[in-house]
Amino acid sequence: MQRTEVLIIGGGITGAGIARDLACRGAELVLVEASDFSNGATGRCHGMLHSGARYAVNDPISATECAAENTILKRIANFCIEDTGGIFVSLKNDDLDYADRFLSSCKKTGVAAKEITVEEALKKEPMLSKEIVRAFEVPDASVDPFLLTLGNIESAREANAIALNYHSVREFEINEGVIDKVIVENLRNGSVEIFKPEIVVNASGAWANKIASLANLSIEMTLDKGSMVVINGRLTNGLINRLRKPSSGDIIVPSYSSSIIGTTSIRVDSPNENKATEEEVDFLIRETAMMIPDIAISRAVRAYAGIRPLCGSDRSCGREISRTFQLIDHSEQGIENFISVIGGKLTTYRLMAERVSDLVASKLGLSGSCKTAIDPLLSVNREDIHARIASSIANRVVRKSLLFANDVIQRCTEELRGMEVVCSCEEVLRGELSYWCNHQDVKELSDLMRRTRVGMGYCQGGLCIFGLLSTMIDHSDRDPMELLVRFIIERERGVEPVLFRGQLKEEFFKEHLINGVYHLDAYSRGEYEKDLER
Amino acid sequence: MNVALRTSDCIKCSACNTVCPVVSIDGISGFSGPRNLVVDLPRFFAGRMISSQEIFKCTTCWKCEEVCPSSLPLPDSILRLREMMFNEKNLVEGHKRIVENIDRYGRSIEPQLGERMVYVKHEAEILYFPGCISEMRVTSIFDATVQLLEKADVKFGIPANWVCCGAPLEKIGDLNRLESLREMNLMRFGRFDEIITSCPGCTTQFFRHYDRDPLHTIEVLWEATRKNRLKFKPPRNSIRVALHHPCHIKRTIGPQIIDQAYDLLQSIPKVKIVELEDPDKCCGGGGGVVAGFPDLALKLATSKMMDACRSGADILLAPCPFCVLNLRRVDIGRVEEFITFINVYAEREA
Ligand SMILES: Cc1cc2nc3c(=O)[nH]c(=O)nc-3n(C[C@H](O)[C@H](O)[C@H](O)COP(=O)(O)OP(=O)(O)OC[C@H]3O[C@@H](n4cnc5c(N)ncnc54)[C@H](O)[C@@H]3O)c2cc1C
Ligand code: SF4
Ligand code: SF4
Repeated sequence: MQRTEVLIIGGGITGAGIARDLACRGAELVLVEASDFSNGATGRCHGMLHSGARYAVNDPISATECAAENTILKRIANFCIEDTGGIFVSLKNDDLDYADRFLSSCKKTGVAAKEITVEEALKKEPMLSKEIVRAFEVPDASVDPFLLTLGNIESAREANAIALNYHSVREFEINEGVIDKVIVENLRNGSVEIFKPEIVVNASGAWANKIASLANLSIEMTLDKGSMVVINGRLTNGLINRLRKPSSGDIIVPSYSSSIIGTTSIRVDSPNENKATEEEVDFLIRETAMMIPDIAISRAVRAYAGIRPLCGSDRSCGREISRTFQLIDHSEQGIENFISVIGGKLTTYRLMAERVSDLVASKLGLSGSCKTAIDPLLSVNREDIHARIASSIANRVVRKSLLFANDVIQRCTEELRGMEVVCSCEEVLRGELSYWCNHQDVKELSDLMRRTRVGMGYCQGGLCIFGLLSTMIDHSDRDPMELLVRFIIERERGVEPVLFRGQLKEEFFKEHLINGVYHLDAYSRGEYEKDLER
Repeated sequence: MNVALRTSDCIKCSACNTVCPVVSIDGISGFSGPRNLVVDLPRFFAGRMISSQEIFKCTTCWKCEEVCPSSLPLPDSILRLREMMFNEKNLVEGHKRIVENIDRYGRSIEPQLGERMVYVKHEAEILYFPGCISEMRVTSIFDATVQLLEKADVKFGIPANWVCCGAPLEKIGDLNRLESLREMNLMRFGRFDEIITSCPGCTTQFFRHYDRDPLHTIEVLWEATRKNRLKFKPPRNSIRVALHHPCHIKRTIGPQIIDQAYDLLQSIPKVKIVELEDPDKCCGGGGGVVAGFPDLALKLATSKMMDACRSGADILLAPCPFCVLNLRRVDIGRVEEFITFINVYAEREA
């Protein structure tokens, strides 16, 4: 049994942000995450660092929060943000009055929006449709949610926090209105670990109600699925937004070597219903192609979906519920040391974390103050890295390697074949993989993906799978076939809704390759899958 | 359409990299290969491209496109990127020279022999466009072509004041200069629609950028032998020859010309044809590589000449002035230009 001041449930951006904040204030804490960090809504979001503009007209509180956090994050977390800027465009038949309201609302809420001429917009974004009639520039940016979360986790660890992935909360032991013990299953080996925390913070996003139910409480919330499609290639320099009342298929986010289009909004019953459908893919391509026509002829590589936990259950449409967050102190419902936080956005995670930490700190009587708006998330030591490795690669590797750039580069330059490109879609080096294979957090091949982007490109693990698997089994005693099958299942889930044109051909080819190399035909694969289920 | 979009149907089979002659010589670290350059990298940039000299190492042999199961326009995309990257101030030494020569002489190379005379003997029905190399470097091509066309009774003329077709400019990405050369040439071609060329580079250029359908000399000669206007006498001693299949004939103008070249060789008595192991392997002479990366071009040519020696041929025949120039830089083996060789044995049919 392990005592701790704070136990945080959930290793998405919210949990990670709280962990960093509280650890820096000197709290003793443990964070547990059932899967890998950022594998919930966080890693399945659109990756947009909002400027607030999208919410200016209908949700002014969110808008103001986003505007402030946008500036802060660009300062403290620039390693995972591409400050590309964004443009809002109205098309011919869009409500043009909305554009005027938009500009004045931006002014009121503190969002820096500026009208530019159609010619200027086309010059900035040559791929834009010639049909646009008005355009506004805003400071939107593209953010890597995996890196942002891992950055917070590592920063918390630097301040002595314990963060454990593959640890799932199973049960609470409640004693006279206090959560006395939290029973956690270690999914790496099936063992049970017991924590005795003074305060429990429920940051489990879409699962918040499920966690609350362990304390016989319920949280009123609705689940709203949003899907996105990864389009091969960067079609735009910055983000493109449709200027209209927020609806589906409004946004294009350039991210690494792709453009991500989204999103939809569909009510669902369970956080596990996070699969994008072919209909959603069709819809999103049609809708966003009105802004960037080339999307219609581009290759859709993958589709994925995340679940938004929205506070309240009264209203019918997911988009009308405020995107600002809700902080619940369950002492009012009879559990003294239990706090839940739900809703919000990736963009405002830091602010949410600050509010939660304030509450926790006052309960614990901590005196340290919040410094997350000032201290850079990671103090990466870039010294002589650039001298040791070709600079274009160095930039990318350093960006992805959080605090470990020096060690990662060392692997790349000193290991046999460390500089070999294993994943050419995303330019991932064998040395990077080899570093992360030895990291305590990495269990599955997809954990390597979230840390290095291996397998995220247009072949979706088609070619890198061989190098990826061989590197992993050099450093792990896991059954390679099990690793392989798990990875393939995960990748296929996202490919299924886009099986047409390029991706269809790709999948046929991969089927042959993987069957040929690993003798993994449909039958033997089915057997493995059955084994995994058991 | 941007490059990333044109090549987005890649399935990553790597067939292109496997057959790329430059990858085979320079390794993936020296030349990261067609897939990386025109499929993978352009995805990271919206309508822009990083500057890298590497892209100028491609010989435009078109081999990658031939094997690509998705038939992606790979060499074309490489040329497109060169065009986007073109910056007169950043050219490598050899490419700078091409541009200077064109500006000064209207030729891609510096004149060495003084300009050849304008040759119009008959009431011309068709134009012969000699091209820079045949006119001033491998001059035997010019002489042989003129003699052969005469023997075959072709009523041809050479346009006065022609300028370089622009093929080298396309290869270094200078499409503005190419355009002005094109206009000058078209003006000088006047009423003539039909053009004969003795250089696959010119031939390719005319159909890619001039919207013409030019004939290669081999096609004209083949036609003439079929119509019994030409016949061949045997050499004194029998000769073993091997035929190099130039990339720009085999994969851009059309493989039928290679067949025609074999037909012509077969009709010369006592000429024995031996096969090269990999007859359409690139000799390194194209794509501006001889000018830009002479060492790389030499290595490719050496590999070709080794093949020729292994085949047991006395002479390696190459129907392309660029190939001949580059192959002759190698110290081993003997290279002859194809038309020049044919001309020695061709006679007017009585
Ligand atoms: C489709 C979509 C698009 C979005 N786009 C954007 C955007 O562009 N910009 C933006 O700012 N915001 C965006 N958001 C919002 C943003 O993604 C979320 O607000 C944010 O990621 C929420 O993070 P979280 O940590 O609260 O939840 P999550 O990331 O879901 O984290 C909860 C974690 O709890 C874990 N957990 C669950 N049960 C247990 C258990 N029993 N034990 C231990 N751990 C458990 C889960 O595994 C999960 O990792 C988007 C959201 C969606 C759904
Ligand atoms: S055209 Fe030839 S040299 Fe150029 S990339 Fe393709 S195979 Fe390589
Ligand atoms: S041959 Fe074609 S499909 Fe195969 S890797 Fe090369 S570009 Fe891609």
